[in-house]
Amino acid sequence: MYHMNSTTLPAGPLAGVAITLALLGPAFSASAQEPLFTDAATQPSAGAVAFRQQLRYERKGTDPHTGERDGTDIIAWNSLSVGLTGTLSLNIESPIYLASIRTTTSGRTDTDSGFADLPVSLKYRFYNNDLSPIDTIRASLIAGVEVPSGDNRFSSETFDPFVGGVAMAIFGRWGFNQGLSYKFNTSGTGTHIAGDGAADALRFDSAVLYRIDPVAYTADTTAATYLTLELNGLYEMNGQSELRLSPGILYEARSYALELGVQIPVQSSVENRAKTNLAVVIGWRILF
Amino acid sequence: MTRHAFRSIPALALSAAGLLAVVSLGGCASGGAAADPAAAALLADNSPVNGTQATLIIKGMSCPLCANNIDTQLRRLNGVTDVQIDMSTGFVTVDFLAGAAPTRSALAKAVANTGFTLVEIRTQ
Repeated sequence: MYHMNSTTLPAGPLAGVAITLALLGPAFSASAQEPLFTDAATQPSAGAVAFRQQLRYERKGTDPHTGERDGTDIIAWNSLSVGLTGTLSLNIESPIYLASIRTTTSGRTDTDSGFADLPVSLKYRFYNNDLSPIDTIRASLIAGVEVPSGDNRFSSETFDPFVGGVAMAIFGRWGFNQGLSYKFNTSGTGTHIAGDGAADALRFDSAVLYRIDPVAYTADTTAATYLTLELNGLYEMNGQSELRLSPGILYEARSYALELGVQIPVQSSVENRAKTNLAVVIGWRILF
Repeated sequence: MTRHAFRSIPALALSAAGLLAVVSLGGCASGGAAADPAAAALLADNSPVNGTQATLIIKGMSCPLCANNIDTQLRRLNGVTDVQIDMSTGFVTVDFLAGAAPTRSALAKAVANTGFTLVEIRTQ
């Protein structure tokens, strides 16, 4: 369900996204070998600050409330992580939405933009077993709260705590990630954003990474390229659910990383918001 | 709940099982490098490193950006002039100014801050 002012407003939201890109774009840092959508048991080292930014394009299906509207979301998803110790980090995320709704009967398109709720969390790595120069197994606990942005068009307007965990294993060229989190939606007015409704939301994500280049690290290795494949799930306690298959590619150099991927719905049982038909994501991280 | 929602249950169960399986693969758990006996001993060793170069043997550097975290932490130490990382072996060569060598504890602390495991410090 779209909760927004249906005014035609192309310049404002674009400016907001552009400003965010300009401010955060140059500042990305390293939390390495992370899948595009699944969280990883990685974090910046103590005293370091990491930035990550993704631009997401989501093509929505027909609005079930009207039956005559569809649309797109362009989301600038900004993440800031601060390493507090070698095992604890503070993470702040800021999604900025630029939503367009097309009324299929008239062909009119309305756009709106705003800040969605800000997840603020602590990530504690409670398990670390480095098996070889490359191989490692790690696991982290995550606890935090989604802080309402104050923008009632894109915010649930409530403080919603969440807890979760993520485990990561890297064996040679293969990497595996598993994430599980539960968000307590304390009340909420419900937005068109998945998982932001009045019902609690359970997210479950699995990811596999395969290093396609180099085949083996050498003393001269300064970059690596990975293929990624993820299964990203959302189950809301009101019975709605989504499951997406997400192939992608990740390129990591010593000082920056680039990522590109798509999300294809493989299961969608959504009744009070438009389904997502396709999502495309491009992201980057840069280390100063 | 619609019947379609149940299609997510196997994936959810798989995800939870995977979370547990990944952690259980590694045997005994530790919260960080300090829990490793060798790393803990190095953290407590305040003796300075001899010479102008040391080789740190580190485990867990699985990607280029991981290596960069170590590079950044080590270069923050006083006296360090260069850091060379060989990801294939886990050997990290640290050069420092004569007479300004960091202590073993400082090197170990720098590695601990990155979350990787320091196995040994070799000197000339």
